[in-house]
Amino acid sequence: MLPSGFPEAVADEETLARFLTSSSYFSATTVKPAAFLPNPKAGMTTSVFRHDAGNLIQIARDRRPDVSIHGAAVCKAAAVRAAKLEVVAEEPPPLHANIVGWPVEADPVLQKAAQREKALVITSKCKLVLF
Amino acid sequence: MEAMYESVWLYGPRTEAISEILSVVATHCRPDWDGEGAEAISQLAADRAIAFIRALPRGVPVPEIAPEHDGSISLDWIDSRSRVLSISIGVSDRLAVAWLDGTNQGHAVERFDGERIPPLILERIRETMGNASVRVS
Amino acid sequence: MRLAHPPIVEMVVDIDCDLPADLEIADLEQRARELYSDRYPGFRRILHPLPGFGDIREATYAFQFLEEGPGLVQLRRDGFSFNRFPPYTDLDEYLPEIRRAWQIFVDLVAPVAIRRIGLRYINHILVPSGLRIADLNEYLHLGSGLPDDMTLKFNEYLAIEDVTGNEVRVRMVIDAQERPDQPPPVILDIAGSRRHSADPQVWENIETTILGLRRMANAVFQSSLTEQCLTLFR
Repeated sequence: MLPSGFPEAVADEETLARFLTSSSYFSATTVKPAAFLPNPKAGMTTSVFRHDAGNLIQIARDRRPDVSIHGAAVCKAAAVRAAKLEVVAEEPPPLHANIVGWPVEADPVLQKAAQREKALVITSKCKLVLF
Repeated sequence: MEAMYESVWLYGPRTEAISEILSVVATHCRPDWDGEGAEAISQLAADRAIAFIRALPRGVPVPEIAPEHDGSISLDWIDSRSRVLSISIGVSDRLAVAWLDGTNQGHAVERFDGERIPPLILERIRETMGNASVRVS
Repeated sequence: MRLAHPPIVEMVVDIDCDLPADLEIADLEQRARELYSDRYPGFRRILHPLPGFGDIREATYAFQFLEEGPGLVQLRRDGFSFNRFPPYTDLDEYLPEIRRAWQIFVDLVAPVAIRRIGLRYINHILVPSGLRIADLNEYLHLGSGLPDDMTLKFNEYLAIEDVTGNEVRVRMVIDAQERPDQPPPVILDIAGSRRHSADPQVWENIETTILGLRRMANAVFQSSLTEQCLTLFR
């Protein structure tokens, strides 16, 4: 059991939230793939939060009060696994997890293209929640 | 500048897309704009993205614009959540391309010389947006 | 000449001006939106690439104020534009509104002088189905003198009206997006203009110039199309 009280293993049916730090990361009802691309500075992972619907805004406020958060892309962990990626709990902060297993290629542009394809699979299953 | 910006019918969607690129650059010009160490949007990437928009043939839909963590610019043609073509434009002439079309998906690398849109990309735009009511260039 | 079904897809009145040297149009946004919002509730900010951009204020090129109907007004860094889309009736009907919108521009921006007045008609001509590109000269005076086995894609010329000094730039584009099951659409872009220094406060002189440009543009339109083509629009 993690300090947050959540189990270490992220179940398929758990809801994940990817906070959207740019208003350009979404259109009217859809999340753009750039929102999910992995961060090379964070070990090639994508930061997400495990949540129930009630405390999403509070998690966002606690995370980085100095960064504008416009909303969240919300999906099930199963959607990430459908893209052949994995979700691994990583606390602190509380409820934090990482999407890992992004493709790595010798050609950085090809790597980006492959990662982008997986991001599209994830965003196809996302709902957009605006704050 | 001729009358490019004055005719909305001829150039309106492309003018808007270029304007959106500049707006994205201006609002993501500080390092760490996302709180996760993002790079400021590269001016070279923006120049290439603008050249790409200008190279789109008339009648081809223009994309939506998004910033990327490494300072590149994302061009997305979105028909629905499951029909998307996405291209990353960075500092080189090689573009990272990926698409999702229902159960059909893929990725590729294409080269943009600054003047002519690669045929694969044009074909993918038309396949993705074939049913959409969207801005056309 | 009044056509029942004009092929116009856009009419643009441009009044290019010298603005006060210390004016930054980005600073005018709020006031401009207030002044235009009653008739033009929609708004778009148009940015233009500049060297070393990143400053959104410096990159601001124009504000577009959109009608709920088929029209918009543009407040540009170098002047004013009034754009009208189908359904299009007659320039005479739009002149009062052009004058009103222009006066708002003058009061807000205080232009120093007018440099150029332009009137542009963009026509989208759909010739009958089954017509091949090679047969377009039945509808258009292409004037290219090309051999029979060649296809014209684009024709452009610049002319000056002897009496008035008005200029006209005419572009005829055979649309590259031809589909085998549809006829090749043709864009006939007629842009008349007059360069002169004029007082922004004297609307009558501006209107006189616009009407002269209309007369010239109509003449060019008639001479660019065959009678067979003109009957499509009557």
